[in-house]
Amino acid sequence: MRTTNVILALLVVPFAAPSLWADLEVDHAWIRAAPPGVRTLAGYANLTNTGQEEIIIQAVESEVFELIEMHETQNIDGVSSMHWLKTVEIAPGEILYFEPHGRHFMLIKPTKPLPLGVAVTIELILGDDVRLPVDFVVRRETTQ
Amino acid sequence: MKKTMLIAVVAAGLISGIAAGIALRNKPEHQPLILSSATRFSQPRALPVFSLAVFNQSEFTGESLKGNWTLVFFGFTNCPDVCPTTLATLDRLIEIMKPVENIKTPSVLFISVDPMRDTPEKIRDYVQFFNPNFIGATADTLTLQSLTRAMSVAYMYRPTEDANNYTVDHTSAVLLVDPDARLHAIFSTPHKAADMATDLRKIIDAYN
Repeated sequence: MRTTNVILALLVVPFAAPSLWADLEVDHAWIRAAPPGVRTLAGYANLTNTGQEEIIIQAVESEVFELIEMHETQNIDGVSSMHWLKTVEIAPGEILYFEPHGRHFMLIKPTKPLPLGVAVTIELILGDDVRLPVDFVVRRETTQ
Repeated sequence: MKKTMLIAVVAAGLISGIAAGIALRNKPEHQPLILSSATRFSQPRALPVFSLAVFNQSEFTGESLKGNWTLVFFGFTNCPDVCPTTLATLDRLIEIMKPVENIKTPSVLFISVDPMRDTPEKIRDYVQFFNPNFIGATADTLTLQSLTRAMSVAYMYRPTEDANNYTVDHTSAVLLVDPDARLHAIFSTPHKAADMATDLRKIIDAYN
């Protein structure tokens, strides 16, 4: 049992390797671990446009979730509310942060349990149906 | 001469006594503190009478808050971003506070403002994922309205793109209730566990 735990611990990595397609680089991709049975989770990542043209994320999909939407948490007068983002545009040279209390991938209805350390592949769908698979690692919050 | 001096001393004593009395009467309940993340009320606010539903607990009322410092957060379990982020921060805050001697670890109370979907059992499972000592509760609409109003908390239901679903907008601040069950301070966002812990220690020290 102890050996199994050690092996599992070695397999758990904080983040997957960065994903790169053409001019879009995605790193620091993670899903916040959530209690079993929770229907809505959040995924976060840093998206960098290293190219000369705007990149538009049209949609997001994964076999592990029934639906994924892009949302942004806004805090107005101390009240937090989530707003749906139909698409997300990343300007040339821009780093777009999906992070707690801000933009996030809203991961709706997971189809299987998501234990700590597991990597989940999520596809970012760009123009012309180009699909960039990104591995998001399930982990606990990094708090200060 | 001696008589004159005596009268002067007595008069001075009376005047300073009256001045001290006035100062004492006008003294705020607590002295100003330099805080980075919390805002204290000049006078702590009493809470209304309430009863919350906590799984496997017969009653959770204002009396249940007495004797402890309690960090209160209002949210809902289908909240993917703000609520888990805040609960994770509070877990970290409790971890930071633990090594401090002579300070009883504050309690954390999560109150769901979504009783239509959040049962007491579901809320218990949700909060204990972050920390086994966290308390999860909810209440009927009237109680939630009364308690949130008293604690300057707002919440509202809003339909999502999926017509069969809704989300809940809610105040993201963490409220601090003192051991006399009064609203004592508010931690507004952004929440950083270390800063909150520093302020909490100052507030508790000043209170003791």
